[in-house]
Amino acid sequence: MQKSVLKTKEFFRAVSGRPLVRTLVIIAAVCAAAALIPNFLKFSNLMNVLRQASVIAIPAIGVTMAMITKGIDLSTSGVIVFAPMCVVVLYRGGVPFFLCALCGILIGILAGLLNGILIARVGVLPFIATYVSGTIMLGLTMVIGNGGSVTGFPKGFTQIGNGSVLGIPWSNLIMLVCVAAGALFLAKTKHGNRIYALGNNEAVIRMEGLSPEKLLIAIYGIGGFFSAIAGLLLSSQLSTVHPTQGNSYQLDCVAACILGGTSMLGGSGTVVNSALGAVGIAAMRNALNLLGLHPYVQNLVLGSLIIFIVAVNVLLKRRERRQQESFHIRRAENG
Amino acid sequence: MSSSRNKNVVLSAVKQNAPIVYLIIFVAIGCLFVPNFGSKANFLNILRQAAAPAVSCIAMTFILITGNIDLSTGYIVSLVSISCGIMVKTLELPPYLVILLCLLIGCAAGAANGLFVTVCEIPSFIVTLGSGMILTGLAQLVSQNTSYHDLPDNFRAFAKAEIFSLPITVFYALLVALLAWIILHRAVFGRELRALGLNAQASRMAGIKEKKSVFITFVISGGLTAFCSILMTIRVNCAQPDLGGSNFSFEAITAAVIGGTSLLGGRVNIPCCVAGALIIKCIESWINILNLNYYLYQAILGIAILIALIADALKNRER
Amino acid sequence: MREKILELDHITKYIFNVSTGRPIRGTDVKILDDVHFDLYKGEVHALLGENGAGKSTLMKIIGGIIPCDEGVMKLDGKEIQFRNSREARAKGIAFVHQELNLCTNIDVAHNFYLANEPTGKFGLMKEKEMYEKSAEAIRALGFELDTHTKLGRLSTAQQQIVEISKALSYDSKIIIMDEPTASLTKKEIEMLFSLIHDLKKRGISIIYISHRLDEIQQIGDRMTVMRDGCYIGTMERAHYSDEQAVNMMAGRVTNNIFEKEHIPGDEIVLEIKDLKIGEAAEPLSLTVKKGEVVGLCGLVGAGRTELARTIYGARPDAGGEVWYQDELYRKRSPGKSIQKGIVYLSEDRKIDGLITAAGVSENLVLSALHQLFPGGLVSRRRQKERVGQLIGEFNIKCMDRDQLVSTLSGGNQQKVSLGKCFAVEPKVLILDEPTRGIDINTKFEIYHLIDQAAKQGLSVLVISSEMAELIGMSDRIYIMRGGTITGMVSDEEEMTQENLVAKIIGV
Repeated sequence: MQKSVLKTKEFFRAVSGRPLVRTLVIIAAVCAAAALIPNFLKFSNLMNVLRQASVIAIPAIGVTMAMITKGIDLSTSGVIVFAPMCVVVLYRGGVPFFLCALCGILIGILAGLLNGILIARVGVLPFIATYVSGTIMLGLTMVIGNGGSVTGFPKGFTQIGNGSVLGIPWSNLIMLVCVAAGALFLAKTKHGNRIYALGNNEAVIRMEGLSPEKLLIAIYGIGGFFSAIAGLLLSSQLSTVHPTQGNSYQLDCVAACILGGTSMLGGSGTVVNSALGAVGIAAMRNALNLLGLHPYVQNLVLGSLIIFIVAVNVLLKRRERRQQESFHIRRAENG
Repeated sequence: MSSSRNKNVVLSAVKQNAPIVYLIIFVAIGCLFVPNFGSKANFLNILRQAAAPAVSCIAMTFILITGNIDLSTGYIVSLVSISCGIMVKTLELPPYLVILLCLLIGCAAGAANGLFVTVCEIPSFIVTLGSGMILTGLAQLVSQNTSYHDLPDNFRAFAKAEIFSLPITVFYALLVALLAWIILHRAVFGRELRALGLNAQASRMAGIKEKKSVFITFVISGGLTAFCSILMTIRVNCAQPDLGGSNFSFEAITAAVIGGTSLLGGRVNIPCCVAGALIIKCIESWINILNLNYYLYQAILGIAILIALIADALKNRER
Repeated sequence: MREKILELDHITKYIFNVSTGRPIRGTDVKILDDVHFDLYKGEVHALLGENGAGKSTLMKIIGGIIPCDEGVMKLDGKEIQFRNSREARAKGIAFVHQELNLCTNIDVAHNFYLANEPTGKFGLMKEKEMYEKSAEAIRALGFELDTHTKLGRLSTAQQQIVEISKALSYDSKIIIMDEPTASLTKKEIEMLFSLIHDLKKRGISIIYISHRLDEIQQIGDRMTVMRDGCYIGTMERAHYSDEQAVNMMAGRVTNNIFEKEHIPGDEIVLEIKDLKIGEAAEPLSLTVKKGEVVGLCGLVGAGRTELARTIYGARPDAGGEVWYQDELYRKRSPGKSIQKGIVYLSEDRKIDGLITAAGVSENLVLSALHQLFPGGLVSRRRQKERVGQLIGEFNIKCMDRDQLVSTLSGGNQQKVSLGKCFAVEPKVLILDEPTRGIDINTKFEIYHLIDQAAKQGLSVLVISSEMAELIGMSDRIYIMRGGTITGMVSDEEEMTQENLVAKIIGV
């Protein structure tokens, strides 16, 4: 009896302890379940899933970094619509498209930097700062477009969102490039190292003469950058900009990170895992769609999933912390 | 000597009730620069419009006082609205039963939020973000894609009467404000909540039961939000699954923060909260009268709350 | 061989005004008073002293973390002052703190190179180099560690080695170690000592802060004792004796001795039976009688506060029983304790003793809300009455009853904290460092209040790090060390500072 309990405990720990394993297991589960649904495993559908996942995975890069530093970014839904709205309005005003796109990305970066300044220098809590900035951007998008959709992108642009090269959609390639760049940055550059350190022990960062504030501002700026790219990608896929088309991404990006093992308590999480989490979320939405369920029901499932995963995550961390505490007393005792 | 002390007393009273002062300034500016703003009809309209938001703002205050937040209030409104419609039109239940059941639904939603926040110790913004999704999904599911128009008169009578040419909803809002004031400023429970918001650790050591208190605030907030939803549903005479929504939550938070409630907890002032709700409706009135782009409203609210947040954060630096 | 590498003279640090951050000069209360300290090349110089003796402050000055207000520091004969710890490290002084300056979520090599990561093409870190070189640095100390391991997975001893090797990688000539053996097993301590011997041979000097006299005897070449911010003396290893060390640490002349008036009763009010404050902790037992003041002494980390909080119910226990008034008190919680009449004064009033952002009145009635206002509504009149009583009883000096507690002086803050405890009309007081950080006059006021309380039949359990104070107040004193209660002193003759200090450090 004890042995089997121990074994299940070990299995549980192995799965929950290693995020990559867990993510793959979950994706496998989703796919297995979906395999029972006709049309899910069709190549075109899978490519579609990845296409949809790309709009989640790209902003998730920034959200991952924010969560590593014990923060969060809820402004993704705002930037995803505000940046392309500015782009299309400028383009319709006669500005060459390349410049418009550049402007759009710049706007994303500025929005991100604003978030960073509010959080790091003014001292506003990350969730409310990004929630409010996201809402402001959503509001501005509605003002510009008078609450409705705005179209008018150049023909080549919509090709990016919907077209493929050698059978692989451009969206997927863009996602791969962004994720690769983000992953390399976080895992292999000195800045990434410092970001992880910041999420674990801010005092050390300060002691080493680095500025936690500058790091935070940069993190959110990068988040804005990727959100803008995702926004352009989405509007390219849909050929339009509508203020509400970004709404689901606010929670989807966070869910992707959590699914990919990024902890709400900071210090851990990787870009690749979050991207895999994004694929999982997109796959789930896709499967529910194919089953004929309304998007709002998808929200029901997604909301429950998030709460469940976060609850498990938090409970595990609490147990770990309690174990460490008693450990500490034991050691002090032994000395 | 005594005149300088009097001056100090007045200054500190002004500081503590700043939102009311802002409201007076807003109204004054409106009367001076915005045509028709100062008319009796317009003031009555603002009061009428501000009734439901005031209730939702007070509901949010209960959550904010302990340093939590509720991003799902807008979706509680959705669920209660459509449930209301079903109960009234399909099930044809008597109005008072409908109202009671709707309040229960709101309390249940609040209780669920409260459970996850207290027992699982998950940050409230994540819990309510997730529960908001679940609630809106439920609302849509329950609605089966239908909205219910033309609610029966005996039900609408609950919020349709008028006293002194003001709709009864305004008086409901005042009643709620009075009750909230008693609870938060005069009752032991309110003291405990304020203490928890200012310093949860010290409050726990002093014997205050944190989890129980926070749970109760979520239940109260859920119930008040349900009440607000009933008022709104009656006013638009349509029970729909997308009443409320994220805009609603945002408005409630903005009104509360402009009304001086600190997001870190502990500081709350009910009269100022009501002033906050009135301020945002004044802004809406300006936009309407001046025929500005309606969508400017949300953007302006966002900037207003941003200013309030920055001010709050800078003030809290000294804490 | 006996070349002086570090010399500090006339080092003084005043207490500072918390709001302005400036030192308050010319007062009698100094954190460090005319302290002298020197260090030879290649020696291990141990630093001894009770809690609050000033050891950490002196080391922080050497390590560049804080500046001194007066005095001179010479490194290699040249006068020097550091603006921050990085400057100190650049000049060869490294500080290994008790709480290691490392990040548990990244691996050894990344910790080693944090803020100095070697970068190559495209801005990517040269990871191969990082892993190899950091492994080499650790090997040079005689240890073998896989530098790919996440730091959090290493034992405390191993983490320490990473920190020490990191310090050495900066060509440190002086390493300050603050209680390095606090969390180590015996075997790990031996490894540390052999490492220290190695470092000595390389000409590196070590300042070793500890209370463990047995270790200091083993490893120290010289021992300096500090007491109450003053330099007391230095002993060479050859002339060292435990007795002398204890005498130096404890032997202060107390001008003001508090004379207690209360006489303890016989009836046991509070009894702790085999209480475990953690899974692997030793069972603890003690008693407190009616009208008695029982002291609890020990070094920081001995477990006194944990025990107090466990009794109160602010912490869970891992076994054992608490008996109150001959009844078993199970499922303890602060709320229940207050209801029963057991109150706890927090060690750190600013963190969980008081709500500094709230007013005096609010704080005073905080624990007694249900008692004072049984109907659920706050009665202004009743509050005013009770607050007035408490302010009078405790002589709390404030201009306005709703004045924010943060604006009061330390002594008055503590009196508010104490008043809060008395507001519920308690029967048992558990006081954790009741006179920490307050002036001498207020201290005596508080001794008097405690004495009066005992006279009226209250039972008091007091935790204090000030020996004289504890001896003056208590009828009996329990000694805690390393999570266990190692003894109890009730005889007046045995209650001397020397005896107690010797017991708390385990001589």
